[in-house]
Order: sequence, then structure tokens, then C-alpha cells
Amino acid sequence: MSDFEEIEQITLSSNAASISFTSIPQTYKNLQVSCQLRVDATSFPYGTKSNVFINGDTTSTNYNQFGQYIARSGTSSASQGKVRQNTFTIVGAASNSDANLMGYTRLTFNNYSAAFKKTGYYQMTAFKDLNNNGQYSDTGLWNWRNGAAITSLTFTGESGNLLSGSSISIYGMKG
Amino acid sequence: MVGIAAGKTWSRIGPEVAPTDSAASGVWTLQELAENAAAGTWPAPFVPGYIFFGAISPSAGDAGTSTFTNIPQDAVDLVIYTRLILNSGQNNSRLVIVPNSTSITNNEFQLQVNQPGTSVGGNTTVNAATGTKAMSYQYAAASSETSESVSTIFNYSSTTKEKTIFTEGSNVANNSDTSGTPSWSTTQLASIGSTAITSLSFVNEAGSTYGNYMDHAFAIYGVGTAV
Repeated sequence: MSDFEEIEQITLSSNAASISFTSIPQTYKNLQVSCQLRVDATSFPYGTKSNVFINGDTTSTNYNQFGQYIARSGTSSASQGKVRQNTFTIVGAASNSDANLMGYTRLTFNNYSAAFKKTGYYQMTAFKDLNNNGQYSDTGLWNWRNGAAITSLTFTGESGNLLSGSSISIYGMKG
Repeated sequence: MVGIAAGKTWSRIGPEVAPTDSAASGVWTLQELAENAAAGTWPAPFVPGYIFFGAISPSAGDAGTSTFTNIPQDAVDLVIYTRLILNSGQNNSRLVIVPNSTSITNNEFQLQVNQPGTSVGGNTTVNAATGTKAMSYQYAAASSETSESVSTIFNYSSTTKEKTIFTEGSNVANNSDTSGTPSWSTTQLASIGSTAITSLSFVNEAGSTYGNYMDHAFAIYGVGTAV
């Protein structure tokens, strides 16, 4: 047994609308989630996002996301800006990205079973292709204005299916 | 034991071969298993989680490359902690993380944000780079001061997926002011394509020496189950 252990890993063998983890055990202190996604959409990076829904709550105004992003489209110079939105989204590679590219995200859900509103940290990164034509990276925090224990997580392509090979792992940390 | 003893050169089941932490051949009693498990000489199943793979502790005065080889391929992500003191002066040299090679290669793509300011709140530099300057790295701190970073290599063990490394790090000029260079970057490791990462080298690009011995200056962990 470990104090930081994998709870479940789901890998898509075919395209699907979502990946869901239900009945998340309440026996850990914190959760970490590692995602690698491709989304059936081509408008990289802002159109190749996946929603994160906690406990099936699809009301976007119940979520906030704040961060700092850096992005590059085509061969243009990189730019940066702030993320401030009423949704909780993570980036995926595009369906027309080079084969074998994935968008990666790491999420934390600290004190996920406690009875107060939830927040956590995220890091995400994705590359459009292998010709240096587009990149995106973003770090920040999310919050969910709800005091319920987190028992399920659902990841849904914002404007298209999650593509085969997409994989998400959730880990529990004792403490 | 009464009867025909096992594990002897003349026994029916062949000579005894000592177990290791990766293999145990032959026939073993439960007592022998328990004894070897307690001694750490019995193969343990890989339990996916956050597993310490190993560390390197370069000596003060070293300038050479440190390489971690034979990285286990059971996990999906690698997490790498680095902390070191370089004798080059702040931002005058870089520690570069290189996969599957002991020298800096090229053809990497990177986005980077850093803040090489003389005070907190200074300008932020945004870079999009290719080639040898696009490697995942951290800048040296001022002499006798520490720079630290934590990196994640996603999908390092995959033989079908491209590899990406995300690094956050920072250094300081000294402990009495606010000067420093915090940075975060993401690098597409295009030079290795979909090849699994089996070794990592930590290359001191400018040939500067390490200022102090630091226990586990480079520490590597595996996370989760390989996809």
C-alpha cells in the first residue's frame, strides 16, 4: 500500500462523449488527476477544450477558473494573458493535430470530501503539431461554489467527442 | 526438514538461486518468502501511485553530466525534482534536462514565461523557441544560492505518444532581497518522437561546477500506470 495511490485509470478505446469517474472513495485527503486528451475539434487551442463537471453539476456559473496562459498560433509570436471564466475547462490536442500528440493537464482536488467550497490548482499544456505551429500552456486555480463532498468527476468535450486514446487517471493522497 | 531437501544441487528441483527484488526462480517455502521479503530481496508487484525511482547527488566541484539510466517503464508520468547550487552567477548558466541522451540535442519546441527582474513585479518575458535553446531547463541562482524546479514528463513510457515536459522553477540572487527568476515552461520533446524515455541526463550547459554537495539534487518519481 502506498500513501499516494492510483484509484482508477480510464483509457478510451473508441471515441466517446465523456469520461466519468463515479463513486470516488472518500478515504483520502486529496485527489490528483492526470489527463491526456484529444478532442474531435480543430480550433486549437480554445476550441479543443474539455469541460470538467463535479458531481454532475453542469451549471457553468457554479465554477470559476483563474490563471495565466501563454499561447502561440501558427508561427506568430507568443502572447500571454489572464484566464478568468465561469467554466472549468482543460485543453486537449486537436483532431487535426499530428498523430500521437495529446493535451496534458494535472489537477488537484484538495480536501475533496470536506464540507466547504472546493478549490484546486491546475497545469495544462498542448502542442498543435510537430512543426512549431501552435502551443498553449496555462496554470492557475479553479473553484466550485459548492460544499458537497466530491464523489464523481466527468470530463466532456466542449465542442466534440473525446477521441480514442484519451486517458485520465485519478490518484488518492492520504494525509 | 525430513525427506528429500529442496533447493540443493542434488535435489529434484535444481540448485538454489538467491532471489532479488526483481526475480525469484525455483520453489520457495512461505517461511523463505517471508524472510526474503523482510530483507528486501523478494520481487514486489508494481503498485501504481507515486513511486521513488531514484536520485543522483553530484559532488561539489563536479561539472559533468549526471545520468539516470534504466528508468522503470511501469508508470505513465515522471516527476523530477531538482535543487542545486551552480558557481556561475545568477542566470549565467542553465541546467538542461535531456531525455535518452547524455548531451544536448535539438529540435525541441517550447513556450516559456520567466521574470528575470531585479525586484518582484518586473517585466515578464515570453518566449517561443526551437532548437537547443528550447530545452527544458532551469537557470542558475547566484553563487551559493539554490535554484529549484519540479518537472513532469507526461507519457514518458509510451511507445506511441509524443512526450511533453512541464517545468516550474525559480532561483534567487540572495536571501536578503527580492531579486529572482521564477519561470514556467512547456517543451515538446520532438527529438525523441514517440520513443519511450529510458534515461535522463542533467547537463550543466555552461560547464559551471556545482557549488555544494546536495543530497538527492536530482530525484525522480514514477506516477500511475503506463498507458
